Amino acid sequence: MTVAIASGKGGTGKTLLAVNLSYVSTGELQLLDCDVEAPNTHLFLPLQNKRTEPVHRMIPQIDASLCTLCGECSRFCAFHALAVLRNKVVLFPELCHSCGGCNRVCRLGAVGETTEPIGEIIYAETPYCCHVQGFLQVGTAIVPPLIHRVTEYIQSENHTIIDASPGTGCAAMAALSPADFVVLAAEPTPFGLHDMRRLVLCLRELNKPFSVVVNRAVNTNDVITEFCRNEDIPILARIPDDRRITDCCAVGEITAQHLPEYHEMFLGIYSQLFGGAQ
Amino acid sequence: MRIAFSAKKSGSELQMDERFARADWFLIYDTENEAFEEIDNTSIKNAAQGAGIQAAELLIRKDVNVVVTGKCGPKALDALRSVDIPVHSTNKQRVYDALNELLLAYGEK
Repeated sequence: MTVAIASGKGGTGKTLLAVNLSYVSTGELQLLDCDVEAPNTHLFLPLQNKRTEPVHRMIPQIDASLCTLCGECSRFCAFHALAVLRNKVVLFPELCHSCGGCNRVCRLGAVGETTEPIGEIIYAETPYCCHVQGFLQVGTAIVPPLIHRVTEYIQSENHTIIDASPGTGCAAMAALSPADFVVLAAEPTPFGLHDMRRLVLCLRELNKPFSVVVNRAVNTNDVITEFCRNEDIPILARIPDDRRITDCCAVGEITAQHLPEYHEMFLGIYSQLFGGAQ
Repeated sequence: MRIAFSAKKSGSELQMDERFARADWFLIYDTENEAFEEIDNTSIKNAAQGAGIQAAELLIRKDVNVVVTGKCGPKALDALRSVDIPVHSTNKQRVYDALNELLLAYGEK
């Protein structure tokens, strides 16, 4: 069972949920930090036996001695990453999505492939879970290949929690695609609702089952609760607007560990998602 | 010399469009015959992405020697520079003023 924790807006409590659910899990759990542009689960967890894996992606390489400047590769590229400029074909790697189409359409074999580094994965053990985390290299514009590599660590026989990127972009979709179930961390503000609605549309398009955790909940008639009621979206839990939780996050402490009264709440969420304690 | 301007049409005046690839039109002035060629840029300006590169490709195909615009994005700039086409930024509103400014700068007037 793979559960992704997502949010429309950033800063609504994805990592808080992911880390605390990992902490209360007593069995085999993997935590995948797929928010590779700003990974942060490692700030909360004591990592042991770290292993680092560099990640590369494919990009085309033009052999000028074979190229006749026919422009077939440039016309094929949906992202205009290849341009025929007078007497050469120029690659704009920040637009290339590594589809390999240019390589296939070139009848002269002038489009070869090479790789470029895009980041790294750090695999580690923690007392509560296995921890896999992607770190995007600074300056890299294309994020999904790294996220796909992180999600290849999913072992179907184990439970997995994915800490996804916020929003509805390619990075978020790449992190959500392997999930069996999605938990939406939402903040009861107009901004929080606006961005959550966008993600709800995406999840429906993807046919992903999902429910909502309201974070920083003050009462039960906030905008998120009202929206969920009207749209028939189940609310899994409400995390109270408690300054002490914020304090825990600010110093990298696990809330369920340092504020024992919340242990049961996170365990309750975990049980609802993964079906009881293991 | 062939000089390309990013332009928009409003009334009878030829107006500069400060955006390069997202401009409505490109006007190419040829100093040989002192005439403008108009190129409709609608399909490129509406591209979701890669407009800058496509616009640069188009102007290179049209044998342009110089580009005059307001603001040019980094990828279009790279593409044009890779074939030694200089890009001049202007804050002139009318294409004729931008043209005069350039011809003066190039000592052709």
